[in-house]
Amino acid sequence: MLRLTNLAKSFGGLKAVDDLSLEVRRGEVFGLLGPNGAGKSTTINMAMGLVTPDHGTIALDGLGAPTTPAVRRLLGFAPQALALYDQLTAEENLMFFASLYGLANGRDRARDVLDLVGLLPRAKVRVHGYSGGMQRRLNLAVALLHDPPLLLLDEPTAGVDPQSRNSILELVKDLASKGRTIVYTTHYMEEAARLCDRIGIMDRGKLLDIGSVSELIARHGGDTVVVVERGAEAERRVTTSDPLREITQALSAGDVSGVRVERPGLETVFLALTGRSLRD
Amino acid sequence: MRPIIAIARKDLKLLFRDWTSAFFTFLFPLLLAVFFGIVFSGTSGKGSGSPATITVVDESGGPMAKSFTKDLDADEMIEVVAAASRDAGESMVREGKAIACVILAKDFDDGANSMFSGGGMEIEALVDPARRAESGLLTGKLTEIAFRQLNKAFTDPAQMSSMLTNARAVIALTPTMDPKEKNLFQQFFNSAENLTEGTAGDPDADGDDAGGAMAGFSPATITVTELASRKAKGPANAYAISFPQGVAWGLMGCVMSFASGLAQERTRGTLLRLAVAPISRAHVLLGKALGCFIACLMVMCLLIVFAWLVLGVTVADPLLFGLAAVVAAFGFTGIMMLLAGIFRTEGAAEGAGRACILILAMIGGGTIPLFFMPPFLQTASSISPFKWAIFAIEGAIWRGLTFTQLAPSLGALMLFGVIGFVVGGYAFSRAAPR
Repeated sequence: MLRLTNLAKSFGGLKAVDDLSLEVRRGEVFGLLGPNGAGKSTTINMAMGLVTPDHGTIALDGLGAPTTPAVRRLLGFAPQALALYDQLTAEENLMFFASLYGLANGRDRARDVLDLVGLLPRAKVRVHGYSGGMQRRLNLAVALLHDPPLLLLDEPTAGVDPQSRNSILELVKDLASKGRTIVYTTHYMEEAARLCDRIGIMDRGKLLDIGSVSELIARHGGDTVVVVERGAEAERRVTTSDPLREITQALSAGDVSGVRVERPGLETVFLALTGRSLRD
Repeated sequence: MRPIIAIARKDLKLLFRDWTSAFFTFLFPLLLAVFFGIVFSGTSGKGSGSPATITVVDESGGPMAKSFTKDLDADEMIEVVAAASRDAGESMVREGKAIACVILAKDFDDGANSMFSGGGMEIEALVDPARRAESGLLTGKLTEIAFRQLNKAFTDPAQMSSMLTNARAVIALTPTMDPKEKNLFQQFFNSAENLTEGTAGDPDADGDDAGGAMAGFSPATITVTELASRKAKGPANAYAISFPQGVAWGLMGCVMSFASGLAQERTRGTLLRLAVAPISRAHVLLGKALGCFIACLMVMCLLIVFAWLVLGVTVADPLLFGLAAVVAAFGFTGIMMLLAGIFRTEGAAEGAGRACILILAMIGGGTIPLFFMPPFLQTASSISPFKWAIFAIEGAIWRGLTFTQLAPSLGALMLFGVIGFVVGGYAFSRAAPR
């Protein structure tokens, strides 16, 4: 659906993206992770046709870079900033963007997507009266308005309450189940693990690795830790590639008050690949 | 065209929903125009420190007319610009280049020479109604200089002799006059002639007393006509003069609202959303420009309709007003594009942008009328679109300018518009997302 080949982009002396190649397959949810300044935004901006790469190619559905109206129609974009007109109602916002996309049935589409994100009852309320979570959902609704096959969602759950976050994640899963291709960037590892079929981890402009969550953990997560608690004794931590064997041995020795298994997660992978130093 | 209209409609909706912007765009100029109207109708200004320019048309060409013009030019409060014809002088007043046109008629010298036999200097003054206060001072100044000519005659035996000869001839040819009265006048003329010979070469001999001794007598007949619209006989009232200024403030409100609106789109991310929509950058820019253009037209129409319905202001030439309004709206839309291109954040647009536009408004006569300003500022005001907008609108409302006379102002506004579109569009394109 989206193929980026040997993309590179520098700003002054800084290499923001360095020879990056990846392919997002039709119908998958692809997560793009990386610390601040890793080059995610530049990559997304190039994929949307907002930034011209220094070299490399972008092909969206085999049609080239989204710099022409026809290719742009294939894209739906929910930026990290709440890109909405807060003096307009939700319906007016959507109808305005519908008119830019030339949708003949703008009002119907607006109501459909408002219904989809659970905002139909508040369609006539001005956006400045919305909560943060409602604004996030509306931000996503604008991206869905013209029913694009590819969605680029840039931290769509930033700063929302757990209920709104859950609602957005469920919506993304639902969209994916209906065949939409989704590129998802986030700083929340559990979101990426929950939603994404494959994940690419970037740092310093390079794509460090790409794969499913289990593949990444297998490659970079390290061994499982088994924690054994025995009465008043301090807990004992054992790193092992065979946790079942460790648990069996501990139980046979007796006097075990508790056993805990700590499996490596996506965060372990992320830190293993990008390091623990601060990036801000 | 559809995306352009959609963007313009959205921007106008946003303008009307933001009460602060709407107030400063539509209501504040109205209040300002009414306020200045009240001020103008009361004191009508007090003049300025710089000399007032008047244009003189000497149709006589005689020595008395020349002397009169020379004395007028010598006055430190007045700067005389000669005009070749009445039409040329009148045009200068209509175009605001002079506060009045003084016409010394063909028989000016004949009148001056027959002051003792029912004649007098005939002076016509065509004045700018917007400069009424200064015109009042001018009438006094013309009378003073006419008296000075009389004073000169008293000290010039040849001229006095010529004047008295004229007077004697007129009396001699008046059959209805009593011979005793004729004799009395002859004795007076002889005494006057002797007095002139005694004071020859001393112009100030009795100058100070001239006013007192000749109380109630004026050597000149001054006819003052307010030069105004050929169709509407001048400004209906002081509001007709203050409303073009109000229009300038309305245009300023529109420019600022739309310039900061574009900066807001950039900082809030909606511009990014427009950039990924299947429309071009030109669509975005033209949509913004159309919204600003319509808002400019709306504010001008609102102000003029209010002035017409509530304050009795009439528009001399509606067609020319329409043209001036459209061209002014275009010019100021260009200014908006320029500011939006240069100042890319809300803070910069609100701060630096507003400062720039305020300076332009001030030097362009948007706050203080141009004639109050020193000459160098009046010259510098040509760089301000406000000057040309005010002048174009005044020209159509009450100055009675023709299209040809209005053309330089319209041209200047068009130029501002084109420069703003080109430079602002270029700056916007460089900064905007692809």
